Amino acid sequence: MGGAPVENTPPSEGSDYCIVSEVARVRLLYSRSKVYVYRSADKKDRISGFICVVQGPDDQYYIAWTPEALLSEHDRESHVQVELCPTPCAGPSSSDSPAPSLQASLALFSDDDCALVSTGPLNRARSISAVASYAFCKPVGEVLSLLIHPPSLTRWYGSLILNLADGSSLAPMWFHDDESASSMLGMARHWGGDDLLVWLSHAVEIDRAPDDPHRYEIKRSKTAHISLSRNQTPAASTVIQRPPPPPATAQPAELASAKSAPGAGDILDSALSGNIDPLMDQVKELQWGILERFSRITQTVRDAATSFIDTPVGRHVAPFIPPSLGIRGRTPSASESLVKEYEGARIYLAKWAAQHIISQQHEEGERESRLAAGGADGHTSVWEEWVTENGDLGAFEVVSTDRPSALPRPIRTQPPLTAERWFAFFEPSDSSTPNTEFRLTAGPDAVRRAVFAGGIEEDMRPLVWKYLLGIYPWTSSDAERQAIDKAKADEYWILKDRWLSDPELKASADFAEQSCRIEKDVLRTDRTLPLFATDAALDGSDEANVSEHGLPGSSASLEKMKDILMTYHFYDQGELGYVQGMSDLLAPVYSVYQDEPTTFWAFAKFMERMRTHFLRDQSGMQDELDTLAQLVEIASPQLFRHLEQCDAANMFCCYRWLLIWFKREFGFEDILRLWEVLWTDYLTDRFLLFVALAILQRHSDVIVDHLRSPEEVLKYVQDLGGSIDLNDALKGAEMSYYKTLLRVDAVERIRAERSLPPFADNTPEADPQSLAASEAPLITLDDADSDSEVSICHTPQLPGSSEGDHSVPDGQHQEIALPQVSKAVHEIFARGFRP
Amino acid sequence: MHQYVRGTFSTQYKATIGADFMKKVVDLGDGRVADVSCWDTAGQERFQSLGVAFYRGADCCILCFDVTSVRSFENLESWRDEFLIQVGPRDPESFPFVVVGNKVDMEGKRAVSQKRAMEWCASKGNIPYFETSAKKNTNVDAAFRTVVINAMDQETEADIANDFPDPIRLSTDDHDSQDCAC
Repeated sequence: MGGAPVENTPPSEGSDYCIVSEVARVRLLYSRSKVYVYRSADKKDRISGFICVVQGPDDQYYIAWTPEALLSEHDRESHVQVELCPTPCAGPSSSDSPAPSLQASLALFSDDDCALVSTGPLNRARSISAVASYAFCKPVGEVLSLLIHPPSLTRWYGSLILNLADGSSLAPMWFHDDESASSMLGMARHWGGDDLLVWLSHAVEIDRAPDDPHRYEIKRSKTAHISLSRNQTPAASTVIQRPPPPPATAQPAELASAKSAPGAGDILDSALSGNIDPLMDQVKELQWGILERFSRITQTVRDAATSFIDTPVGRHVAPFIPPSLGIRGRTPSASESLVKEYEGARIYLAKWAAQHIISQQHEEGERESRLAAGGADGHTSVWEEWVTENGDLGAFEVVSTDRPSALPRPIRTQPPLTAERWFAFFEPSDSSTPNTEFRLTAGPDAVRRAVFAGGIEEDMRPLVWKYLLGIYPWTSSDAERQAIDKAKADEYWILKDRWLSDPELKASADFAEQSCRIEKDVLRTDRTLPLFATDAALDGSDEANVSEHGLPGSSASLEKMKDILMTYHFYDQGELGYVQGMSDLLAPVYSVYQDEPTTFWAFAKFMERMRTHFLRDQSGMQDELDTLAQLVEIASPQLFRHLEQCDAANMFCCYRWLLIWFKREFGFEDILRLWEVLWTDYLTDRFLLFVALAILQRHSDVIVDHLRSPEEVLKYVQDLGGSIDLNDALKGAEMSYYKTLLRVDAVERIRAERSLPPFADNTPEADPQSLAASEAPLITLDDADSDSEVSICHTPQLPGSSEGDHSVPDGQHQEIALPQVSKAVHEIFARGFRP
Repeated sequence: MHQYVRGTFSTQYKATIGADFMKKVVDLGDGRVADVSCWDTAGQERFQSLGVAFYRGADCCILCFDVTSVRSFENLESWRDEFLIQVGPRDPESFPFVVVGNKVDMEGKRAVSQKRAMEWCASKGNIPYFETSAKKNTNVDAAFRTVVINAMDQETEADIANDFPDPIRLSTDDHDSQDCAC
């Protein structure tokens, strides 16, 4: 809070402000950011400022505009806070401390024009007097009328012109709502001009001019000196619920008029008629008035507002870029005058909301997993949740077989696997026969489970990964493993030499193209890590790289990576070869081994399971995306429905996540952990999809509330990188697996009860018989889907009754279609809860 | 694309995986302001089929090649054809393309002459051609501005009233030169 300095402020009979020499402390009642004055048509000459209403030491209201540049950081904060939480005009009272009565150390000083600038940077103010000359501060009584042009199809921004009593007019002020703090935070219900008008109308009487719909006259009949009685201190809520108190004498007739839909002009009417302005309404509900969209995080509301102001970004109110966006330190360039990067306000809002919602959900998730782990109230009804999720969507029927099912205890709670625990896996089962050959005796499942539960300690990774990746057979002896290492190393050098010492091959077009592609990709892979930073030695010698690709010079590690990828390209030639994205997959593996042959084979093994992702026809990725979509549909029907409405249900937003296993979304250390967990295939070999599902579920509220188009969804999802807590995601993924399994189970059971085919068979190579069997019901299922109700089942249904009944809405009570379970999803859960 | 939207050319770029998306407001200088969504798709031909999802609804398309790579220039034809197939514009011949030859800062390694590129553009219905250097920020603005203006004009001709609130969507086929292209 911009707590005004109190020293040297002789309190004048309970007032909120004091006069210190010529500097007057005023109360800032209303403020709006990003209101521009255009000095010329040139975009460079637009001055961004705050329009505000202040209460002067003489109790007068002043309307003022101050360039942003002239405000001190502290004052800017105050302005933004008031913008986010305007003071109800007649409500402020010095005794009502929790009310948003903010003070701003604004100074009123009399120049020719009474300019309003802050106390701090007076010197600076003078130095940029060109800007300062546009600042003004006029008593509201001196304002004759307001000329208001709302945004229209031809004008992106709305404007406001003040006509003064002396016949002069002030420069138009343009409300850049898309940049303003209140819009960014979703609090603005009207465009800026109306917002101001509504606020003012609570303080003074405003009438729309009969002859000009754009002109609003301030009633002169009262007095030129409009004052607010501070002694009259009704509680904020009282003020809001009642017509504006005396200064704004509302006509009784209007009081009775019904609240009309707020249009540009209607807002004023409704405000005058004493209806509760939505903005005011908020203040009533939450003293700190943060939008209702955030109601799910009400307890964090106050913190949220504060923390926003507290961020460095918040202080420099101007750009309003969330920290997660990571656009920092942009260097000015020639293009800056022409264009300016921006981000859709909805995405901004979504990101901002996410920061608070996610942390809260994190706590809930912890509690949930504790509950499940404790087993005390472990009987979680999946259906209960499903019903809740869909409750606000209206029509649904609760599954009568609300089968309480105990979810298994989550196991992703262990510390990383240590050397001690690892070597315990080698202890002989029968102590009389020593394990002289040093074979793993505990069996692969014990290892998989341990790694799944907690990952691997750093120093054990090189060894354990060889098992997980299949370089070492689980049953191998020590001697066999050594032999494997030796043979694989020899084989690698032969493979490498095959292309390295083949001048003909190296002269080929394919080689040139691949070599160029690999080099470019490697040179932009994880360059921020010390391991891949430019070597001093190679920086100079590799001058060509710097100039050729505009990329930093190479390093010994990167040269090895290039060779590994080139070797892989020819090793796998005829099939995949090198495909973009592989350099990202190689880097973490390389970081663990840092040795060419071992890295190569570990990578090659990894690629065996990844190869479907890189198929030329993209069928592997298509399957991943389709399956993820199905999981979302089953696990989070509401989210899925929203994605469908956004035209984003193809899940392309998750393409990068899946293609390279979240490589770009997590830090390097986290990637090592995530991948080793995924390599275990412990619950399913498609656990990757559950990680994606869990992250999406965590952001479900934000996505549903804020995002509307495929672009927004893609941008939001792709920008999550760096903000996801890996442990949280993995725990969530495990729980999502169990819950989804129960749902799939229930769906399939119900389908069986209705004699429907067990799952929708989407695979093209399905045998004709099963296709035929599924055809008839599928058609009606599609019909049912098209009524856009989220899929749930079911009232007790006579076995054998056709699904077609369900697509017919019966009065007020719509039936809901059963989700289809694809074969892919069905197979995921083939193992049940645990292997 | 990064150069255009962010005004920077960074050495910390990563290869585009899937598609990237940026937004910016462009002041066309004639009183019009466009809200531009730029898509950047992965460069390798392998990912060409992904375009389907992203091309749809595009109002214009920047075909980008590397003046030091003949192959990347020769690929323009297939990228253009693929794009037109996926988008299926009402009038393929007048669909607003712009061709950008990037990396002109490396004149010494140039493999595609300006003449050759311009001839190709002329043969495809007078596609505007720009030579740029993303690294040195040469001509990047001009290329983008042209494509936006062309798209807006196309839009205006098509239907003024209906399309106004829709953002202009730019599909940036940044193939073979993603590192420093757009």
